[in-house]
Amino acid sequence: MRTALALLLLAAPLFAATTNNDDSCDVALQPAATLLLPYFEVDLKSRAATTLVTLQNVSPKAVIANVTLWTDWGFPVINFPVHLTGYDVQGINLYDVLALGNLPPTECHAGNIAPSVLPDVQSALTIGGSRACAATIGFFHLRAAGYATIDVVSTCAAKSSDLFSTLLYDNVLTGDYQQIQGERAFGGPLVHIRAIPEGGAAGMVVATRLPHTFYERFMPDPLAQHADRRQPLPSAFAPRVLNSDALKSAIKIWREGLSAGACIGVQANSSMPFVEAVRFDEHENAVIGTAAAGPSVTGAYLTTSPTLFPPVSGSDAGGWLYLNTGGQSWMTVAMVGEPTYATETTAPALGNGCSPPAAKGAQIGPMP
Amino acid sequence: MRVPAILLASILAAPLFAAGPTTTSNDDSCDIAVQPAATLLLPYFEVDFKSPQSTAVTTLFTVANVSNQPQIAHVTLWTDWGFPALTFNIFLTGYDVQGINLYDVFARAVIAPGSTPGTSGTSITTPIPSNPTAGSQPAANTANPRFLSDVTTACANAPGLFTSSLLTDIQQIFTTGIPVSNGYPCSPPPPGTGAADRLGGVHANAVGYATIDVVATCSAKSPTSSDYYSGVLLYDNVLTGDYQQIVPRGAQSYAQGGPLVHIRAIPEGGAAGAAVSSSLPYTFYDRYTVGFPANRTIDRRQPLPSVFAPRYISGGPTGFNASLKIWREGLVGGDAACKDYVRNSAVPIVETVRFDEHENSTVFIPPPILAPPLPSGSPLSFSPSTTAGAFFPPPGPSGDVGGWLYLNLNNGGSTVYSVNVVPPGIPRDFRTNTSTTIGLRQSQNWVITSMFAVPTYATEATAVALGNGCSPSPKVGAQIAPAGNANP
Repeated sequence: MRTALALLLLAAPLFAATTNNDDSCDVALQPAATLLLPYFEVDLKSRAATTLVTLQNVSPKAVIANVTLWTDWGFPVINFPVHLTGYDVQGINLYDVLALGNLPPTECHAGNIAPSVLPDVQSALTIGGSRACAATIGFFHLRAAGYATIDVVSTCAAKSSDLFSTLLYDNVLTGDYQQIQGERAFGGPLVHIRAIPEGGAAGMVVATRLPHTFYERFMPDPLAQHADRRQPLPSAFAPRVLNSDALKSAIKIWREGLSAGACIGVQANSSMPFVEAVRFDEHENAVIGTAAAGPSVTGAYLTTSPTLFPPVSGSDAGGWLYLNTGGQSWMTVAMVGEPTYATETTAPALGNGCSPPAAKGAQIGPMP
Repeated sequence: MRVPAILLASILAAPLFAAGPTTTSNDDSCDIAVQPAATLLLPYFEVDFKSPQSTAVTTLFTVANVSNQPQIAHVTLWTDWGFPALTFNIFLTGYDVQGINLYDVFARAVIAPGSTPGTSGTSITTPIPSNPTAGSQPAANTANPRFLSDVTTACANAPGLFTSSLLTDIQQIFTTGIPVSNGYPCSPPPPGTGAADRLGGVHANAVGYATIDVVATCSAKSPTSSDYYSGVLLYDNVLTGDYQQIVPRGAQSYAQGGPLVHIRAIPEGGAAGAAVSSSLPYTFYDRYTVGFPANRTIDRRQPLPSVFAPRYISGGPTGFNASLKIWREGLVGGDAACKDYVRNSAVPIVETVRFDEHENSTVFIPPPILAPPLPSGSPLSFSPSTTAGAFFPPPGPSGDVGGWLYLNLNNGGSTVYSVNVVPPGIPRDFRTNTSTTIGLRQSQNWVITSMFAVPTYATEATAVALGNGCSPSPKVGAQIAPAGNANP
């Protein structure tokens, strides 16, 4: 970090017109410097349940994407590099990574996960235990579950523990995912998080007009808390819900953790209550949530879950939820119907990551 | 253009130059995000209205009003050649959500069926609940100050049933491009007196696209007419929505879906017809604002991008295979005659490039080298396989099954676009007069990637755009890359 500060370049440009391409807090589907897979799930014993991720480099120059897999409590378990030639595309089946230890064979020559390390990775993502940490770092679940981040970095040797020293700022990555479950598939775009402003070398601290950034809790120097320059994510969402005979909905929720991924304190990320949760049915009747518990950093939940969401009231099958997390979040809505219907869609956010947080009890609506 | 509609309403036009609304800086961006919007676009729909519902392919969409104020969503169903064939209104109480199954529309002549047969699902008379907190309380159904004075009667029963003759017309127009009669302006001539003007393509299922706009009253007006903008269109970013395309095949049924395209008004707010300047260089409804030469951005809707990078895969009989759902901006304006819509049947595509997994590229080579030929023109809403040779270059020799496509879907411009005059010999673009695009402004597009594998694996994802609607568009043959970022 001292090196980084020595390179301090407070360019402090005049604030640009907001219609310029990248100068926005809106998270759009455009080339980005960080991609977020909000939730993954992998059956380590069978390919029947896995998550596929595909990365694209839409620029002519080669880039290195650093993939980090995190537990559902936000503990970084493992990271590996993916070298992408100009215009390259690279698919990653997380079953290959987590069940077999096979990493994508790219020009970073990362090899595979050592057999001595693989059980620890699997353990961290299934039972929340790891030799790297005496404390519990994730929930117990039969399948490996967590989330992934993919960052543009300057070296194949990038480490999640020292992210900032190698982080780059080029908005060149795109990507999508598919989650396979039995004979159903869910999918959609990864979350495309741009660097603003973009460009420059690793370790450069450049002024950004962003009030918050995606990685701000991981930035090592409080004087350069926004040095990652990544767009922040929104805090309030309006996912649609359905609980009919034909279709039932679930929400995949990613949330910013309270701790910075260190071993000690990661348990604080296991249950983070909503600031406010309200269920609207098809007749606009509202039920206010009172749950003391909240979701962890990532998870998939039936929208009828009484422990997290306001209870269903009345006979309407559908409606929507107002979920104010108070911090950076992302939500997708999966719908499942018999025999084999399955869809997934990004939930609308009621503002962007630069919107002032909505207070509990405030009038629900689009955010300024 | 007169368009049959479910409800006719008398329109009390708002003053043309009302006080300007304040902008909300949060929305002041050309980026298309999944956030509350003033217009929603369903880029492609397909409905098999000839089969029983249990086996019929159909498209559903759902619209939510995430504000406490009541809103009216004006739905227009367009043919794949951009003819607005049907409009109807959905009244949304504050915090309301309304689903529409297009099978109901195309097979049963009913929109948003109510619980009682013969009734509709939306009305301004819907009771308002008494909710437990002030923050979750919807306002009264007449509380929206932007509503016109006739809203109580105009929206008393929206949208409801429509006639069997109109049903026959829309079934014909969305499958053959030719209405039967029913007062459509482009009815076929008497037998033996000439060929009918086509308004859409020929396909077994009804195919087209839909727009959903926030408006000030329930009316029959069409987005192709000037009085839509001067009289009813509103600017409140309050709607959200999603869609599902259902393919029932017994035990091998599948569905695909995603968010509607959320197009915000910038700046937002203000009364219908208010003349407010926008920082947008041009707008989503640009080609229909010819009647406002001093304010071509009167709709204030964000423009859509022109260049996309969808992924493709051709995994064969046992693997994933990809197709695209593509929406394109048409060439004709609101004053189009019946014979003009054929221009939207084969809209040019500027450049497509295929990259395989080893970054080998194959291209359509532009003139004067004419072999292989340019990509074919396309209609405005269509769903090609990513192997479709008419639109996309052939795979390279590597044998790779996957990769991605570079799609510069510019259409070459139109005289009804707001930037359509090029000073002789002066390279210019729509925004700076100096930059990358020579001539007319780029056209707007949207692309979705669908993937399917047997027996029932099906996903759908919005394709990544290489810039937004305000990004200057690249020339043919330019370095393929994310759109230039002049700042910061």
